[in-house]
Amino acid sequence: MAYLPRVGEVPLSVYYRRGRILKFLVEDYGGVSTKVAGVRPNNILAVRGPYGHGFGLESGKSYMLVAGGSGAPPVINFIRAARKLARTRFTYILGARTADQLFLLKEVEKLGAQVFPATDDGSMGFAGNAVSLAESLLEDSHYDALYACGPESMLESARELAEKKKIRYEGSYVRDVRCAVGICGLCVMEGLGLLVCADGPVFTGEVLAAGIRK
Amino acid sequence: MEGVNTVRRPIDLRAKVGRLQLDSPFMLASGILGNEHSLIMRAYRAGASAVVTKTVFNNARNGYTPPIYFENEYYALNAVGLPGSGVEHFSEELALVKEESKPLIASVGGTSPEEFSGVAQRVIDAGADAVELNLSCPHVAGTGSEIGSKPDLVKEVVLAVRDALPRALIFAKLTPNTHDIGELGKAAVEGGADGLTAVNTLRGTGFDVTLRAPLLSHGYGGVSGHALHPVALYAVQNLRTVLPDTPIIGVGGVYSIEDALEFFIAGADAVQIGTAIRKRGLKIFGELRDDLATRLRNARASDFLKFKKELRI
Repeated sequence: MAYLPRVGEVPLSVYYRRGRILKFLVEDYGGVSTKVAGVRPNNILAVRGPYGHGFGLESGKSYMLVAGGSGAPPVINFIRAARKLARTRFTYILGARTADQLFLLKEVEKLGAQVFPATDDGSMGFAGNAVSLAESLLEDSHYDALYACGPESMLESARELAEKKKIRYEGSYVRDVRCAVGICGLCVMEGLGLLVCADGPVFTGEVLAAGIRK
Repeated sequence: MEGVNTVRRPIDLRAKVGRLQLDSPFMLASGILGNEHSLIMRAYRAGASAVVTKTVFNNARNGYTPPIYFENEYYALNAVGLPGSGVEHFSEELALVKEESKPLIASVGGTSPEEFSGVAQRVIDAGADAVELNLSCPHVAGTGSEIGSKPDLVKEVVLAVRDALPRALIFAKLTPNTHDIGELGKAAVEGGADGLTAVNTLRGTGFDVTLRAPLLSHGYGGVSGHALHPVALYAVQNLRTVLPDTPIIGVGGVYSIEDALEFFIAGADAVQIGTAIRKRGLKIFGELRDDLATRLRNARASDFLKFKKELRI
């Protein structure tokens, strides 16, 4: 959580941390987030956390990674960890409406990983949505898991794709995180009895399906 | 040596708060997790004997922007701002709670006696087993402790709810932000409350020194946790003295069985758990049940009601 003193806090995901340097992406969705996104050098922003847990990682597995919108940060953390593991393979797809919204594309390239961009308007890379590109790549080769972070509609189609391909799914979800410590209940995953802040933000396909069947 | 003579007698943890029957004296306090059906069911499954929901108003409320919660080893400070989707949507959530055997208590809010009674009627119609009137939130203008610190307004609100619901089980949750909680308790009982919940949070604030900024976006909020415990115990003892026969639920800083037993000594019939869930998780309900059973066994008691009676001083 990033706190702009006397204004408010927004939940966010740190994608780089070394010494006293933290890097994160803030999406401007109005209210406090607009003000946090507008911070300038010498402004003070306080950070508390981290809370919750990220994507599961096992060596020797292959991962199809899909990020959309402002969803790249947790996937970047995953890539950084995955690159240190032996026999661990991944393909990273970053989707956006248009080329200039492919956030943090260069951060991943700096890690030496390849990025497959997908844009709705075809201004860069694959013309179409990121999950469709994932689907066509999954036709050609097998992956052990599909991980996604982005808008909920994208997460739902990624979950369905993984279900169809009978591979593991994990998605990072967004809700109204306020206390961030598991007691206010406002970031509930409806019907699951689970909280994004304390039990997530990453949930597996099995956990999500249990709620869908109810 | 283990033998047939060491077979444990069954321990009966059932508690009674007036007409409210509980499978143990450990309930979930309002404001914690009780805003959605699957979270409510998770609390039951963890062992809560009853759930008090988050406070519901007639219309949707946004609540406050974070930061809404701060905690150190002594206390927690919160100003969540009573967010909720309004009674219409909340009634649908209540109807989805599939736990027939344990009471569901809806916390009801309002800025007028009419709003309190209207919302209470709706939640009872939707299946709530009882209502707990929030006459005590310390950080929202026009409701909570602004109404609940004045005995005449407390009585007026409870009367309005009692008029609308002649047979419903009504609890009034009282504020410690007052010079005489006994007067508030008497006013609630005169208005027709079946029982009292004592207490809500104490008004308080705090600052981040480095940032020169309040810890809460609202500027101030309610103090709960360990620091609230002696305040709540005193409130229960005071209420028990002036209202010897009124059912009382103690709430404030219950982290351990010792904390709960103090409430029973002071005169509470059951306790609610809230802030401790942050540190201990919902498993605290199972742990408290186990610890109470152990206490009963050590005291060679077989049921909580008798044990509680003997604890009173």
